[in-house]
Amino acid sequence: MPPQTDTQREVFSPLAGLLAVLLPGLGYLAHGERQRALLVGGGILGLIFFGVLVGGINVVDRANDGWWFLLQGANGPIAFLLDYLHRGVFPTPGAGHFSSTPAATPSLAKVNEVGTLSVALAGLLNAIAILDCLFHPVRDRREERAP
Amino acid sequence: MSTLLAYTPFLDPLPLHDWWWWTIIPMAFGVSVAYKAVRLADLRDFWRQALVMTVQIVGTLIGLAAGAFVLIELIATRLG
Repeated sequence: MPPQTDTQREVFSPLAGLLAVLLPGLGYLAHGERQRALLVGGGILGLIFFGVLVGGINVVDRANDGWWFLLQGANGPIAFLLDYLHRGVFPTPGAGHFSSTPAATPSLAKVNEVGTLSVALAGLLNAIAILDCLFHPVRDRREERAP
Repeated sequence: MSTLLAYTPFLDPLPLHDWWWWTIIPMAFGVSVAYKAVRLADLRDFWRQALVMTVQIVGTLIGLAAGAFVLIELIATRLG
């Protein structure tokens, strides 16, 4: 990344910040940066996909892993949706599970840790993306072309 | 075989208990893609930069693991 100069300024964009909270990468569309939106969204959603694939849906658990969910929740509504699906639709077997839907198998040990960590890392990266969309640098194109 | 047939993606965890450390590579790649996409001003060199960061993360973790192995298995056992 080129060093920040005095001519580089930032714009405050609440709409882009809100969109970034709603879906990872979406805030960059508000800034007209389609390629960046796809890459940020792909990276963050890929980490969430990978974490849930490896550890199962119970890697997002607001009730039992509250501290982890502080990080995972930065992914926005998708984290809360996963938590709802885990606890409400596909609960792990145990007391009170009389649902006709299939039960989620709880993951254990390293597999659970990898899945939990992957979704938490996605949340941390999305927090960076949200801040970057809120206070977005406006770069002087003429300066970029200068030798 | 019966375990494989009963597997439901996203509801059941993958049976990676003996291979979990391979998951560091896709995780490092995902982190690198998202971080570089936010950080780089110019995305023309994006994929090379993301791959370099992936190698840096994995290499650093291997180095830390090797250092911990030397400290715990070789040095600490001789001192103890």
